[in-house]
Amino acid sequence: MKPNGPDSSSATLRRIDRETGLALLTEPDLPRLGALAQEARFTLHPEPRITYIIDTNPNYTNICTVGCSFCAFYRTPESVEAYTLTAEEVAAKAVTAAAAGATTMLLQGGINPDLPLEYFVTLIREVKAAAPGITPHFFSPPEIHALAERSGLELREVLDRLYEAGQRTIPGGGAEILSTRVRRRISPDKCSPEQWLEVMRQAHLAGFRSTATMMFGHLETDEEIIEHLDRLRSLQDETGGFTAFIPWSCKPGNNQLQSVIPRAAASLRYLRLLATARLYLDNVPHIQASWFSEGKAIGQLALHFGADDFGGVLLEENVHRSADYVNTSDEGEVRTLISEAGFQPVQRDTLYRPVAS
Amino acid sequence: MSGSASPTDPIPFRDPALAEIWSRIDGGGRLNAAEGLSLFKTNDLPGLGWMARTVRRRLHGDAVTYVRNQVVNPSNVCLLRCGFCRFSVDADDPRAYDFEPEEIARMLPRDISEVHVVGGLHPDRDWGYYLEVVALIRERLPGATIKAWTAVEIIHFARRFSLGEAEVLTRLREAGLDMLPGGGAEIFSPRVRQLLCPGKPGADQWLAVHRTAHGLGIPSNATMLYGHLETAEERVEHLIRLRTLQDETRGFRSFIPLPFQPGGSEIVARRTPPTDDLKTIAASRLILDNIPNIKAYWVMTGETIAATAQHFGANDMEGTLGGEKIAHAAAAATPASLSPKRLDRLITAAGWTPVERDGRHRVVRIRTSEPVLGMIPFLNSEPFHWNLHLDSFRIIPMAPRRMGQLAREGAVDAGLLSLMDFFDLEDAFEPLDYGIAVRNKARSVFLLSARDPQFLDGRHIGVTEETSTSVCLMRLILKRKFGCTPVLERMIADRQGQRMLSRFDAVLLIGDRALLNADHFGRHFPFRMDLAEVWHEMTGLPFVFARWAVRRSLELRLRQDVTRGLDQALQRYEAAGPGAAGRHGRRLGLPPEEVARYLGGFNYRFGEAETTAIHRFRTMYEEAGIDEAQRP
Repeated sequence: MKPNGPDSSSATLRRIDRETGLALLTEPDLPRLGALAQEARFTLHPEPRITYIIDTNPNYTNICTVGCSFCAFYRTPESVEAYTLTAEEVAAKAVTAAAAGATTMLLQGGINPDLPLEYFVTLIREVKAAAPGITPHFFSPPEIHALAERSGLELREVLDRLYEAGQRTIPGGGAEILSTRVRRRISPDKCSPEQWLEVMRQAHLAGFRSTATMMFGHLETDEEIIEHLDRLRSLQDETGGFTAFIPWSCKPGNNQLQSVIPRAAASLRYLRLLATARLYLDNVPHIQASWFSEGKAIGQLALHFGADDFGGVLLEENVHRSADYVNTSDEGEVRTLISEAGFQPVQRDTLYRPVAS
Repeated sequence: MSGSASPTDPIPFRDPALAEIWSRIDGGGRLNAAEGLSLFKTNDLPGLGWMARTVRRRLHGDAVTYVRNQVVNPSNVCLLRCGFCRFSVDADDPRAYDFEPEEIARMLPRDISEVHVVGGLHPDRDWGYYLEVVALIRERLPGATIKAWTAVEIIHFARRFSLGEAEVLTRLREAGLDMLPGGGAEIFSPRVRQLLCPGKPGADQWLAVHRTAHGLGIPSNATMLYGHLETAEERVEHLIRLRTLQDETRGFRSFIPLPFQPGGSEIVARRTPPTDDLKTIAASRLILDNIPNIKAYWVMTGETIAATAQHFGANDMEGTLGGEKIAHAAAAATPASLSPKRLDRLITAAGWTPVERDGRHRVVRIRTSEPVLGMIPFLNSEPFHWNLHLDSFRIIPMAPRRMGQLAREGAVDAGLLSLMDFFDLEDAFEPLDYGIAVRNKARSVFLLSARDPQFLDGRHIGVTEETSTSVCLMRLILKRKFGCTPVLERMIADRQGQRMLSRFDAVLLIGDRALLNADHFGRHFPFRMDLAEVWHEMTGLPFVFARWAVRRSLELRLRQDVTRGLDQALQRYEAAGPGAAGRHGRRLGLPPEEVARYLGGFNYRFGEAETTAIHRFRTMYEEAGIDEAQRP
């Protein structure tokens, strides 16, 4: 598959090296960094538009055997609070979301050792059948990796089965920080950085498009953030399969990390990171700001720091909520937030194409 | 493209209007209403922020200041019902409260350096009550700055007690008042005031009270309430009216934009977006070229936006604000007060250096583990610090005498030390061949006297608190030339109204204060002596007021950074040529020719003449046998 996806622009950015990336991330002059990022953003996307998606974000299971230190969502299989949804239940959620205007369902779950490949394939089929207007944006790399391991199949074979069932895009979760040192400390039992990248490589080769994420604000160094970006950029050079990069900050509630950084520090670091990512990821078409994870105010400022997408309306969300982090909105407010920040709101689909309204 | 390679590189402005505006500002120009409006209309937020940040760094370096203060709202009973207020009630309302002066004094913690007193327009209290509130606060906190009663309240007192506004202010000052808060300005537009707060005194009256206060030597702050029914044009008009008064009086210390809190007010549905808060901060910094401080009022913007605003032109976080009630009554979603520790962390996290200040913006404490370079916020030092880019130091502005103290305490590691401080610190500090020397006239170190200076023996001379070397030069000259030994007394220039000046026989004025006020003070003190000029007549040498020095214990690399930074800064200054001098005087409202003449009189690179002059002064001062115990 060639790097030019349906939404890449023909314009190119100048490639910067790691050292420059690091200097940008630590640039004391915050508005200067914003100006450079906006210059890059407008080179790639000349119109003052900001896209958003109407989506829902349920979870098919909260059972997980990985036990990442930052997660407040998972339960052990023995827990009374453990649950696993049936394909019918997930399909019903899709129908409800479609009726509310959603075009995509971002579906993820814990690493539940009892679920066979067939369960996943059925989820896709049922959702597609029940709600044809909903794009299944299912299963992050750690889930796919674990599924391949326990089913004894090649990664590519699992991916092909999901593709055959009708899935075309993969969410970029579970990347956290693509650094072995950090991952050993915050999520030692999750698929490794190399395995995460391998799932994405194979997925892109199988014809999937995906996003890429980063969860920062815990134990990572500036160098490790640049390393993360650099690994994404190299893979993107190879496959061209990433649609967007989506960073978010670690939420210091109900987990083992309990961050000591003031909220404002995380917000400013978020703006710096977003701008640096826009400049560094010259081959990734979109940078997504998250009003949801960073708060509406910072989400709006992020639109002046290199982002061209405002994320989803998120009709349902559980993972942040488990960390006592609750933030809700609706399409009307999302459009208002974008307009107030000085941009024109445009609804998009999972592949970042405008939705005719 | 690179990170911090050169902060002077222009940035990619997306809005061409901003590029034009920047070349005007950088050349010393002042923004007109149309240009001001384009700052509010632009969608190039980083471009706007960059201009404001660049201006802010020239004025305030890396410092973000705050004060330990307490808010006192003596009563919530108010005759007015402004549309935006959720605080005021009628006297018979069950929520009404009324503190007695003793109660107010008792609720004040001892460790604060500013008290902010704002109430409502109370229908029943008598005049003595207000004087007593101030007097008891003064009694409890002799050193604190008392910032009390908005212009609207001053007008209320004047009407109710049939006094002139000047009389009200004078009596309050005698009771202990130091300055006026900036509230009640809301938005000056009569159209909006009619809708928002119809019974409240208008813009002309608000400005008149501040003009009167400034004339009496009482400084004040100014505010603007935005984000309700006003237009961008009305915001610009508000700012320009403040700037015009400031040109006339120089009495405003700070400007504080206040975002409207919709709460349950039904005036507007939504609070202004953060982009608007940052734009307003930045536009204020750029339009108000003559008001020194721009505050981000965290109570109303939230901590995160207040911290971000420091990158968009603000330089102050206001204060700890114990006891604040008015904004919180309007449902501001912020904590009731912030501890100094929390403010320190917030400011550090935002990439700045926390500096605790007192009510008069003097440095109390600098919170950083990095080396600190002291910057003197005077016009004659601007050629250094306007162009100084040193990533390895935190650049913090402070008055010369305070720099000497902080250098002794180990809190300052490099700086333009006043010469007398340099002598004291020579063992710990290595001199550099840069500083401030005058060939002949300093034009900003004046002894202004009511009598011929030869008759000042035993007389009282008022010296401002920032002076250090100038005082010694004055004593040397008076002793050598006339055999006079005067009695020196520190005076707080702000607290010194015309009437109080009569207790001095002479005053010593230095720095920007001398440039601005020499003529004003001249009415009381007809004899004027330029001390550098007299020194030159005596010795044929330049006079060295200050010398750059760096702590000897710093590692070599850091010491070399300072030398290189200063040299580059001067090269940039020299390359800009004398035509660029005008841009340095804008904040003081001085004409470009006067600034060029003034700055042209200084020598910033030291050679043999300066070295000789330093030795000569030291020897002469020691030989003159001036009683050190009599240093003020």
